[in-house]
Amino acid sequence: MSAKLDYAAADDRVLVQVAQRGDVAAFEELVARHRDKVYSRAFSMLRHEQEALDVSQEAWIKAWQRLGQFQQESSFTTWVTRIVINLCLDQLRRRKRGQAESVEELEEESGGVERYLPVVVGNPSEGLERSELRKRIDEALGRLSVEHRTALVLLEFEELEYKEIAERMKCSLGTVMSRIFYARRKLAALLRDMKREDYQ
Amino acid sequence: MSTLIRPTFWAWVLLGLGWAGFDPVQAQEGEVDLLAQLVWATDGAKPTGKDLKEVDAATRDKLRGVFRWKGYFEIARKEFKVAATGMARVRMSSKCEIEVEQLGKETFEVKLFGEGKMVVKKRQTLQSGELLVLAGDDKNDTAWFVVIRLHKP
Amino acid sequence: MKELDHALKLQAYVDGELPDREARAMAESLKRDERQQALHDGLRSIKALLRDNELELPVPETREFYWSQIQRGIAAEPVQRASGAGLLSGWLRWLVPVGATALLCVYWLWPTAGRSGSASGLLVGHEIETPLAETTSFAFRSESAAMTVVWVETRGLHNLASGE
Repeated sequence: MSAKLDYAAADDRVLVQVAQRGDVAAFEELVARHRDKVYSRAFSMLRHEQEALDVSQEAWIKAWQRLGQFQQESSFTTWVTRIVINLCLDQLRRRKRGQAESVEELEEESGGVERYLPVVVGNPSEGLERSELRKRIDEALGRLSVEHRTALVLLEFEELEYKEIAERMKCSLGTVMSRIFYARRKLAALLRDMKREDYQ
Repeated sequence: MSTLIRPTFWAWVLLGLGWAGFDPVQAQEGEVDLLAQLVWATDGAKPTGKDLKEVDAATRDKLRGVFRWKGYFEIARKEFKVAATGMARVRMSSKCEIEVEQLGKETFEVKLFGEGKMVVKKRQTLQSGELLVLAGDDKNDTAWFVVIRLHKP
Repeated sequence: MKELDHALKLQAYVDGELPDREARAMAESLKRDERQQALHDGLRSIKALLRDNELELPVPETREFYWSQIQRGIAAEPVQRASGAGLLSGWLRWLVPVGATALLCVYWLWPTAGRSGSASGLLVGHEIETPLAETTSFAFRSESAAMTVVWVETRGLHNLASGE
């Protein structure tokens, strides 16, 4: 193709349409634009830099292969983050198969100690720069169990409904609801503790 | 007699309202005014010996928003009308003609002819502010564009 | 247990997962119950906190290096043009030639279908015809420029602009 498109100026829809015709340069521009988002989403779920890198790159390869099927009914970022989410879930399943059930996992459905914690956040953003707050939330997310974190990431970042989360995590709707509930409780407690540490 | 009940006042009001509601694009029932520009794009300098002028800033900015050529020169600019369910054929250069047919409200069929042969036909809805661009490569990494839009003369 | 069920229902309300009627009833009951209201506020604030504060981490590799690995992957694996072709088995294999024949019949019998040479499939519903054998075209739309572009690729069609 020699239409000499200004890839940097073109919107995502145009780049997708042109990439669907096999223009790799247009696809590279899409990767450059959204690679941080895709990598971040993978890292949010996997909490491992190298795995997140590998999975995010695999997601882009899959996106290229399936680009012909993308009808632009959702935004390109939504579409590509769905791909990375599915790959992360596969990766987490592979990881789980290789590990024995931990005490933490056994306590998972019942909520463990989080069961007794109140959902009181206070104001964790008080006196914090936004970037600092984001780091803190990310750190707290990293301290949740895999199941709790995954449920929360799918709900809040990926904006999936309970039913979709249950399908992807291969569990019941009730389990999704309780995982989200206990995840929120623990997250609130972690953020509160971090804030308390600030004052000490 | 108060101003509000004077017949001449109401005559002016009605005339004003009529004028405000007048849309030059829809001068006759279903007839539309269109503008077509033949544009040549290049990365080089303006060719000497040719009477070329740069395309208007609005069109240039729109084209630059999508394409990477540096210069956009207007070769021809044609304003024309198309009646409801009518058709107009417009010569853009000695080699290039377009034929625009109005199929329905805001729906057009545009045919592009190169050296008398139909090169491409496209059906398109056009609303105010929308551009339909038919384009292709020209020699030495330059390109031609036929830019069509609704137009208020 | 009943308390947990109620908390989960309240959470479903916060997440917009309750049907309208139940959501209205929940809103009413919240007005009368301070303890539930406190839980509701806590859930809402943690939700808002997460929604607006996802950490965006930069990829810890240069653009070129990150892309080069993707590029290798793209080159190594074939593009899936049609879904499920590799999964066809048994009777499904028969369906392909039969279906193709049926489609060809429709193509030839339908008065206007499929007469468009190499029409682009990028903009569905915006018919493009390029009748010349040596010509192809594709169309795309830029929302930001409010512009639909039909790019024509043809051998021998030059100097349209200059008319030379």
